[in-house]
Amino acid sequence: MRVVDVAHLTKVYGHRLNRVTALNDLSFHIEAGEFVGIMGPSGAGKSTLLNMIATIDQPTSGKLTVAGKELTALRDSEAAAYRREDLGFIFQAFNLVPDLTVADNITLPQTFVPPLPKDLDQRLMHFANLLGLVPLLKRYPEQLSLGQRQRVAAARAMIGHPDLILADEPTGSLDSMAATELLQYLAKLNLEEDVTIMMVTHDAFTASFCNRIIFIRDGAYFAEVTRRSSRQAFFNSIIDMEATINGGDRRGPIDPH
Amino acid sequence: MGQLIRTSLRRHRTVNRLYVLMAAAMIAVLYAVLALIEDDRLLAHTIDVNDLTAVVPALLVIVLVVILLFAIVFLLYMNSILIEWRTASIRVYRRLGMPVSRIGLGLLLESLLLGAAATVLGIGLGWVFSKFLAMMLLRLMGVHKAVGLLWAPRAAVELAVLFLVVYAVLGTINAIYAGNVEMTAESAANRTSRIPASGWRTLVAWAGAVVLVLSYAAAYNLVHLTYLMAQRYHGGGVWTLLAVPALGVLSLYVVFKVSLPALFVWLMKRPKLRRNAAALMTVTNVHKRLLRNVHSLFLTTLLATITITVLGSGAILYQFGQRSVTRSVALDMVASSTGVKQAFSKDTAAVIKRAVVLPTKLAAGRLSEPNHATGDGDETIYNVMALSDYTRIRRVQKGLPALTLGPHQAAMILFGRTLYQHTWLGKRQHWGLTLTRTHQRFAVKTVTGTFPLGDSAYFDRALVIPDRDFRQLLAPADPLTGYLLKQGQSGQAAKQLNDGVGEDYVGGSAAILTGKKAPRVKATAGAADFGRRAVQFKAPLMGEMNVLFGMGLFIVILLGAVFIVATASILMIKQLMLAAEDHQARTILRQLGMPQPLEQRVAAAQTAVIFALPLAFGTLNSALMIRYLSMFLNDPGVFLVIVIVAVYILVYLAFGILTVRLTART
Ligand SMILES: Nc1ncnc2c1ncn2[C@@H]1O[C@H](COP(=O)(O)OP(=O)(O)O)[C@@H](O)[C@H]1O
Ligand SMILES: [Mg+2]
Repeated sequence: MRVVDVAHLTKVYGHRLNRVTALNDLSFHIEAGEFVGIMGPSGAGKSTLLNMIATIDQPTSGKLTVAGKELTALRDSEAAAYRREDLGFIFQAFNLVPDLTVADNITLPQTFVPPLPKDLDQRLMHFANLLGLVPLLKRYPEQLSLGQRQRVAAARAMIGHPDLILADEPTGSLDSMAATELLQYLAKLNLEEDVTIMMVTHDAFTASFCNRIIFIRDGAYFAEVTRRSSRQAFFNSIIDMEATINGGDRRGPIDPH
Repeated sequence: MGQLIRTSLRRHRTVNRLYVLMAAAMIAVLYAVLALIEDDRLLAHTIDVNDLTAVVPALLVIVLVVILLFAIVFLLYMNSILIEWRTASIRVYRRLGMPVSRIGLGLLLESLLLGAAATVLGIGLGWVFSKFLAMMLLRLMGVHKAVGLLWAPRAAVELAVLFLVVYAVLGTINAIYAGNVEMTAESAANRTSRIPASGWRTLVAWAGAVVLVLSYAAAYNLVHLTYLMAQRYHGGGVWTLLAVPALGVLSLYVVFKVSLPALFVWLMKRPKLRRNAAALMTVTNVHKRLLRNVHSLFLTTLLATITITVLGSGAILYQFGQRSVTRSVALDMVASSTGVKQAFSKDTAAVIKRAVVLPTKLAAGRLSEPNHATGDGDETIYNVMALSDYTRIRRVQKGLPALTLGPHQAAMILFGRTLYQHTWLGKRQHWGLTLTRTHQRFAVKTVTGTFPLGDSAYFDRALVIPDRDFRQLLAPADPLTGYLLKQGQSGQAAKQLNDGVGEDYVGGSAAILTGKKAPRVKATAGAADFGRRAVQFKAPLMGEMNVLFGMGLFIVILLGAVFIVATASILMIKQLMLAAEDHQARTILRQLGMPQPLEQRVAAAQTAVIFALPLAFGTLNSALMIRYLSMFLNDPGVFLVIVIVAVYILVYLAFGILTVRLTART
């Protein structure tokens, strides 16, 4: 089943004189249960793509379908419901509410609209344990390190048990231990609970946790790499592709063998 | 640098626009008042009304000075919050190495630019407003005269120069401030200090709340409390009068500064509330606003208190004034028997619609009080009347209280009844009254303050006794006559007659008071005599009262309006600045899927709480103050006070709604 279907997506920022084409006729799709990485040079349009899948930003043209919903056709209230019910988003800039404690930041989206999940407190403790946030629950975001903030953002994205998790460089501010733990947990969620995950990263090690990597350059589809065998082999082919994208021209999907 | 000023003007345009608008509104009021003062021909109309109104120009100058001072303080205050808001960006410029002189010059030019805009706009608005203001003044003083827009070039130039100087000073202050901004200070996010809820703070929070409640209770019983303290300690009364409001103001500050934030911190930790996003965000935002707006909330509360009190007691005094005129002369014209002779002519006969006669007899009386308390041994002249006559007058005189009397009972009517009826501790006393010449004795059943036909027709007090006792009383007659005149004729008749009217006197010597001699009405005054005017008209009294109060009302309304709008604007601008700061948080919530209606509800709720706080405390404070003031009046009206509070609520509501609207837009 196709969970995410991106068809001829184009996004142009700015006005007549000062246009930036962030996405340029981008098409691909993602099946349910996939763990997909999005890679590409800085400014390639990765965050823009994720924002559009999250209905935070609207495409200039093209079609975006998630779980059968045509996103551009949603009304504001429907889009909000989609964001809080179907989606978990780990933002690149964390997007924590500065005036709320860590605990309230994590649970807040679950309390927007009744009914309140009965096991919210257990869930909170579960994710706090998992991400090492227990001693930080009463603190405010500005009292945390960047890595801690990123873990709070991750907990908030996962606590609602979403079907689709969007992660924009979720390990960018984490040390390698914490990054590995978060990625292992995401992989576990993906495997055991069938959560579909789209993760933007520029780091090949992080990307090697995925099953498939889509490379975009200048807002357009460039290539993709699928994991066939070991993670090491997958990692190597990601490195290869990164070298290509920075120097060479467009290629089709490669076979790591 | 032009670039820099332009970007900063554009970036802060919502707040700047409001700032200019508010300053312009004040300059407009100032221009209108100044133009009024400089318009000698117009003021001549008001001076003509009567002797009292000759002070109108002087009063207007005082009003002008008050508003001017207020406007300057207001601008200083606004400027300080605006510049504080921009500290962060100034810090960045300084960190990047921009010379202090350039930043300072930029701020100075910006201030002058805003000042020029405010002045031009203000004088334009003032020109339009001047007509309204002049009309209001004349109308309230009862002068019917059309007025046009007042163009006073001198006033305009004076104000323009003055305000350019003020803005130049503000700009200089900003420039100096910018030069002193610390480059290493905290970032904007840390500005809301997270105060840990220590035991010490909790104690202060409770203490503030308790003292506030106590001082409210004390203010409610201020009259009795002052009396008690005055009896117990030397000078205790004055100290109590000073201490209660001082403690109230102080504890109110503590409540705003510590208790309310503590309350909201406590609320923020309630598990139930934390599971309701709208409630949690509202409480969190209100808490932040309380911490960041203590001073403006406190000042707004004080100003609201003063405004409501002044407007409210003004209204009470106005009602009191009207009532006291009616109390003084109840019908259009009231005359004694000599007065009737003086006033009666063909002209007067033509305008009389109806006449009522109240027969009274003059007798001296002595009060006795079994416990020798207030009033014991008090001797004076009474106009004694029969209960049936009193009751007859009630049909033409609204507001005359009903009386019932048993045999040998009497009702005493006196001016300033409060002093007798309510002794300090509110105890009632049992007086007996003896008419000294005939030795008739009565138990004083009730004391009222409303005389039939109005108190100005009496020498001193009145006494209502049962008809039988009245018939038996042997004393000189002093009939009083009340006239209802034809519509619109009373003023005319009063003008014609007023000059020719004389006075009646009655002796107040010891011989008369002790009953050795009978009191007699005469035309010439002795040393200890009681006197009254033989003929009284209501219209001129009413007119004079109206002019006087109209003048007062004009000033009070003008100042009140300035205060109301200014305080509401301060609150609004502070809310908008915080809303701009919260913009990122609102975006985040939206991205997380917070429904739009929920967001609006939070914005509305937090704005409502912030606007309601000063209003609620201000209303409570002034209710207590008005209550205290009204103790000295008989039967004050509260209707107008309610109207004023309602106006306040409406103005705040309008500003609140505007705030919510603009919050959604930022
Ligand atoms: N709000 C915006 N307005 C204008 N241009 C934007 C905006 N957001 C992103 N862009 C531009 O679109 C391009 C893609 O940005 P982004 O998606 O953030 O890249 P990245 O792949 O690094 O996440 C960049 O050139 C960026 O400058
Ligand atoms: Mg990005």
